Parts: sequence; structure tokens; C-alpha cells
Amino acid sequence: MNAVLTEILLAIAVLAAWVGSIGFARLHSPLDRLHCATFVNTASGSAVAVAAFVTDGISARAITVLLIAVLALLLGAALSYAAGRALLLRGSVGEDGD
Amino acid sequence: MTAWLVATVALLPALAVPVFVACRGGSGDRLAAVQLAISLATLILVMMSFAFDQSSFIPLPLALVLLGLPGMLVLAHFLERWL
Repeated sequence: MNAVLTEILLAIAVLAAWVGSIGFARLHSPLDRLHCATFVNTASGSAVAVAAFVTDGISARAITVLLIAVLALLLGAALSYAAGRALLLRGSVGEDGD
Repeated sequence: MTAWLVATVALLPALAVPVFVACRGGSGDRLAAVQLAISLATLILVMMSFAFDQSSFIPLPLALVLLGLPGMLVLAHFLERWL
């Protein structure tokens, strides 16, 4: 049962990462592309964290994976803000036609 | 072959997209590409720890997440001011 649940969660994580990468390739504006990284952090990170707990139970490794997922969410939001601000101030969004 | 190893290998083509854009795109695209590449590389390192059953791998993605913040902030600041 745990193995099947782990496989389902990993499939969700990989699918979300693929959707994020395909979206990254399809979108053209750098500001739009920043959303793809946030989507991957949110969807794949949480799925992998849950899969880690299903595989290991409550262990030091699973707790570290949860910490990584939370840090990726929080730091990713801050980084997206900083990157978006830099892109807007630099004016590269307008250079790309948006 | 475990599910973790399959998932690790399946993420490699997804990582190739931001790596390609980081090599070929404009400076704004490169900034976004590096951020996505850090996210995907973190996932791959976590999955490798489970795939090879090595708990000692886990500090690697933790360090990557923690070091990605100042690195990207410096890059964004540099892009904002001087590029």
C-alpha cells in the first residue's frame, strides 16, 4: 500500500515538474516564466515531502525533506519577488515585447 | 529499479529545458531559468537520496536551497544595477 502511494506521489511530482518545464518553454516573458519555478516548488516539493514521509515514516531524513520543501516555498517566493523587481526595473520585460 | 530512481531519471529531461534557456536566452530569461533549475536540481538530489538509500545525501539539497537564496539575490541585484 505504501509503495503504491509513493509511486502515485512521485508520479504527481514528476508530472508537475514536466508541466512546469513545458510551461517554461512555452512562455516567452521572463516574468511569466518565474511562475513556472513557483509552480514546481509548490506542487512537486509538497508531493515529494509527502512521499518521503510515506517511505520513511517520521525520520530525520523525512523531516529534512519537509524542511527543504518549506524553505523552497518561502525562499522561492522571496526570490521571485526580487527577480521580478529586477526585471521590471531593468526594463527587460518590455524588450521582450510584453 | 525503484520508483525513486525512475522519478530521478524522469526529472532529467525537465532539467534540460531551463539549462538550455540559461545557455541561450536573454539575461532576464536566464534569471528565471536559474531559479527553475535550482528547484529541479533540489528535487533530483532529494530523490537521489531515496533512490540510492543514502541519508548522507540529504544535506546537499538543503545546502542548495539555502545557498540559492543569496546567490539569486546577488544575481538579481547585479542584473538590476549593472547589466
